[in-house]
Amino acid sequence: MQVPLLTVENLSVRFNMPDQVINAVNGVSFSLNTGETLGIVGESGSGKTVTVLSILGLIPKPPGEITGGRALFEGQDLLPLSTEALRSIRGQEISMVFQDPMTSLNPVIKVGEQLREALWTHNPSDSRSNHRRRGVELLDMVGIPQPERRYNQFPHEYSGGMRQRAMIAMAMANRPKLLIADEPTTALDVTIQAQVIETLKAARQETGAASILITHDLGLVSQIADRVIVMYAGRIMEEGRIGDIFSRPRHPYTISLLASIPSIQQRRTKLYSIPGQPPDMANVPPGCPFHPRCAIGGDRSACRSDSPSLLDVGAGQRAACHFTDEAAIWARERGT
Amino acid sequence: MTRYVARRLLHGILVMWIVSTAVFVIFRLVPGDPAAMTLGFDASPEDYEALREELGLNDPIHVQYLRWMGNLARGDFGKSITHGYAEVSSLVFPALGRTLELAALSILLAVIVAVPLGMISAIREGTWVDHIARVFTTLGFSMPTYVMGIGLLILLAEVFPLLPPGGYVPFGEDPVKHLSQLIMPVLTIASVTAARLTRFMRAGMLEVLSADYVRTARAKGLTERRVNYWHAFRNAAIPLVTEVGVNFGLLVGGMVVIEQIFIWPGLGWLMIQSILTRAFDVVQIAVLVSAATFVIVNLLVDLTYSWLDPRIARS
Amino acid sequence: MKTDAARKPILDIRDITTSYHIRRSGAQKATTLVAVEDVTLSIKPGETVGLVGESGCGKSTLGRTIIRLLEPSAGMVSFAGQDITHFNHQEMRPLRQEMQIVFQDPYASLNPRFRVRQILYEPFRIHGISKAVASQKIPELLSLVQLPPDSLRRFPHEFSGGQRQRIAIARALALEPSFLVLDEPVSALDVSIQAQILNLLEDLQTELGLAYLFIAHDLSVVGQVSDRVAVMYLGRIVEEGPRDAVFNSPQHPYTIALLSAIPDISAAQGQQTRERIILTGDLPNPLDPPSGCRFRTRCWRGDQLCVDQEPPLAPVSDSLVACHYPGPEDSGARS
Ligand SMILES: Nc1ncnc2c1ncn2[C@@H]1O[C@H](COP(=O)(O)OP(=O)(O)OP(=O)(O)O)[C@@H](O)[C@H]1O
Ligand SMILES: Nc1ncnc2c1ncn2[C@@H]1O[C@H](COP(=O)(O)OP(=O)(O)O)[C@@H](O)[C@H]1O
Ligand code: SF4
Ligand code: SF4
Ligand SMILES: [Mg+2]
Ligand SMILES: [Mg+2]
Repeated sequence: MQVPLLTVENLSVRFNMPDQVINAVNGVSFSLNTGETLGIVGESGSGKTVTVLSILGLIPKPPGEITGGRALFEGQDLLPLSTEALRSIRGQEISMVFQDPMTSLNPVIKVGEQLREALWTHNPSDSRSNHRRRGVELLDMVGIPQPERRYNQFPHEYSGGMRQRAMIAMAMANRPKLLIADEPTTALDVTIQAQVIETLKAARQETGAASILITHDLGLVSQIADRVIVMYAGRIMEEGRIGDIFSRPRHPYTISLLASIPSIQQRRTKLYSIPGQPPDMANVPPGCPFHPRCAIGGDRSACRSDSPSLLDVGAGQRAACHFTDEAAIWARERGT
Repeated sequence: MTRYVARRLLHGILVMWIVSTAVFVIFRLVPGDPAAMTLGFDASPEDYEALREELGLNDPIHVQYLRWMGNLARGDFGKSITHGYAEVSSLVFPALGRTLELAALSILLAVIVAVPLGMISAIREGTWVDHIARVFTTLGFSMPTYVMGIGLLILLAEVFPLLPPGGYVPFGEDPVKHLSQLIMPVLTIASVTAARLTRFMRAGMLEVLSADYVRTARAKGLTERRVNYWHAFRNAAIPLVTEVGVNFGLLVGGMVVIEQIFIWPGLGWLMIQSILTRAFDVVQIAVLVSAATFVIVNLLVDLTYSWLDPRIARS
Repeated sequence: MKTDAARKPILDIRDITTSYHIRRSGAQKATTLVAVEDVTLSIKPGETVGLVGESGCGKSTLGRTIIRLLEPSAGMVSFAGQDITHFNHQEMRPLRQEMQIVFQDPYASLNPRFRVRQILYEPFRIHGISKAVASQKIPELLSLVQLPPDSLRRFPHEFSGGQRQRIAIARALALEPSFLVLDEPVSALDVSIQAQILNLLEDLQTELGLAYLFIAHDLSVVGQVSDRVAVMYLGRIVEEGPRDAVFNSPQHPYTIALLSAIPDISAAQGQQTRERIILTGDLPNPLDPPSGCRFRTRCWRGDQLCVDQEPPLAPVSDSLVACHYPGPEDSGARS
């Protein structure tokens, strides 16, 4: 058994707001091996971003507070580290690409300068001209045309796709061991999204980095991840290999989600529609958080009172549901 | 860029034209014409008529207007009857210089205090530094300038006679005295302005600190120093430039009370003195000059702004 | 298939061009941005035409021109057999009841200071329909979009995105229109809510016989709801045809690339998928579109002919295609 690159155990994060407490992440555990790509999917507000930001100590405190758990990166727990200690991990060992390329780059600093800074902060002794050369190289690597000229431009002179490429260049600058991409293509057009995903794949291949890809797009995750975690209300509902989760889902939420998305391959007569709304994170339903919307457990007392734990359902697949067997039958009946 | 500058200049000229027309209208058309204003109510009808003739008040109004605009355009501000036919510009410009000196020093001091204070108070939001900064800004906001000025005067000139109680000696004559005369008015103005700028800086920094690009900067592994004082500050500083400029412009025109308290013969002081001695010919030029200063300062601010913010400069 | 060749189209547009006059800061004279050029399209009663394309290609502009929120600079719009191209505000008024629009952002399109009752009453008030009639109809509207009756007393901010979109749909349906422009109605919604709204729109169509122009950038959503599909690129329709023809045997290189770019879950479920084509480059600047075929800067089939001549929209098997070298990817002419 390989020693995982990253192991998150029982991570819980909450936000103490003036009038309420938001339990954004509740006992999330997962691990990631070297070179592996893990997908995290879930609807907005399900805690995907908070999970990964906590690992790097990037959630604002206050109001954020990590209430428990560990995040072992190469055996070292990152959660108790000081900002100063985390600094040598951020951007060097673990780097991030964010959702909105329009706001993620500093508008008043030239792109090249922002790129050079990522190099400089971890190799302060190297010369300025070396950093510059490497910066131009990186822009070239992510497919930005005329990198010499683009190096000296401001973010607003870049298109959305180019900004996201620049973000990827910045993230790969120090050849990190882990790349976290938080909805890297959500704000982009389909054809640009495809370009950026190719760039990400190439960058990953070149450096051999492991990666975490956060998205709400099940199609996207199915194309580039090895394993996937499905989150709902700050919890992991199901986890497994891509092939298993998409062809043999065992959790009613996963099954419902898959049945509710249109596919271009075959037109469904009718989409399955999950009733109700995603939960208000300040008032998550007791028991299984999905129970008010669940087609199987909706009115069973076990589901309403006992929160199911994430248990092995075979072949490295885990699901947090009291009735995974019935769910599997339901899935087959629905033909998902 | 040049086109932008040209448009802003034109804009400024237009504003000045409107202001000078307004001054003309107010001083000619309000009841009690300039001659009466200059002479007072007890003047003889002959003196009054003679002055009307001398001032050209008997000419048709459009002739008067054209003459007024023509003189202004040539930079001829006329002579003041009440000041023994002295050139008005020789009264107004030195006064403007003294006001600018006071305003500039006050703004400088205010910026030196407000920028770090506002930044630290934002970065350390909720800590004791922040609380102290906020008490200070609230005080500065709620205390009227004249209270602050008179308070200082009583404290530092009466109770502890450390400083001269106002007055003005040119720098060239006695530099030490000149500077000591500056201290109290500068402190008074700077404290109020600093309060305003601190609050502005704090709000701007708070907004910028929660921006996505600040998170990106942290995720890159930059030091907190670099994140705060380079990435965040650069963005927060841009709107601050405008705020400083606007405050400076307001100071130049709004120093009347302070100059009165500290007997500082600036533009505000000159205006009050001229009103008291009925030197309307000085008042109108003083008003114009202070408006012009405001317009020029704003022009400079806009240009600096577009130079600082690449998003404006390039489009 | 709901289309019926015999039925007369409810909406018919011919060679529509819509431009914006924009003034860039510092520029002396206004530039013209042609957002929609030479578009011809018709929609039959009860039919859904899907309109797809990337951001800025002119989908919303076309939608707004069709319901005459914008005036076209050339071409003709006719609705229910009536030429409305140059109708003024007054003349459009009676027609406004017949054609409605639902916008993408359910947060921005509802007045935050109005209760739901007032929001739903607005269309009746504008068209001078009595309060009595309105108050009878409003609860019906609410149940049509499956919102609880007590929603009437609440404000928009008390609702989730999906619920707000239901309110917006209810408002659009108030005057019993026969045609709706749906401008990205589910783009801002969560995956689990998207299906709710798509199903609702489908139910409403069956129940009320509505015709839809369904605008989206998400091809899979369009494929789910449309009878016919039009693909837009930089202001022009490049391919238009029955849903299955466009999705199963796309002819225009852009459609082919677009379809192959969509990440689909089929592969993970062990099904065959198409080969991926990754387009290079960004969308050209609409202020300065390429000569000849607009897609040529990103097309892998193009040659000199494409630089020189704009390809007309011409029939190719079941569809209309604007390309000099149309055809499925394996048979397409290559240069
Ligand atoms: N009010 C306007 N003034 C000037 N230009 C405009 C205006 N509205 C749209 N445009 C321009 O017209 C073109 C088409 O815009 P439109 O909004 O129709 O695109 P769209 O396909 O709906 O895009 P999206 O997917 O982003 O909604 C774009 O280049 C856009 O910048
Ligand atoms: N800075 C913050 N302050 C308060 N609440 C927050 C903050 N960031 C996230 N949250 C809350 O935490 C929950 C999870 O958010 P997030 O991880 O961003 O969701 P996702 O990335 O899955 O869309 C949400 O309810 C969100 O409102
Ligand atoms: S535990 Fe019950 S409510 Fe939750 S997903 Fe399983 S069956 Fe549904
Ligand atoms: S006309 Fe030419 S450039 Fe345009 S899509 Fe067809 S082959 Fe490509
Ligand atoms: Mg997120
Ligand atoms: Mg649009």
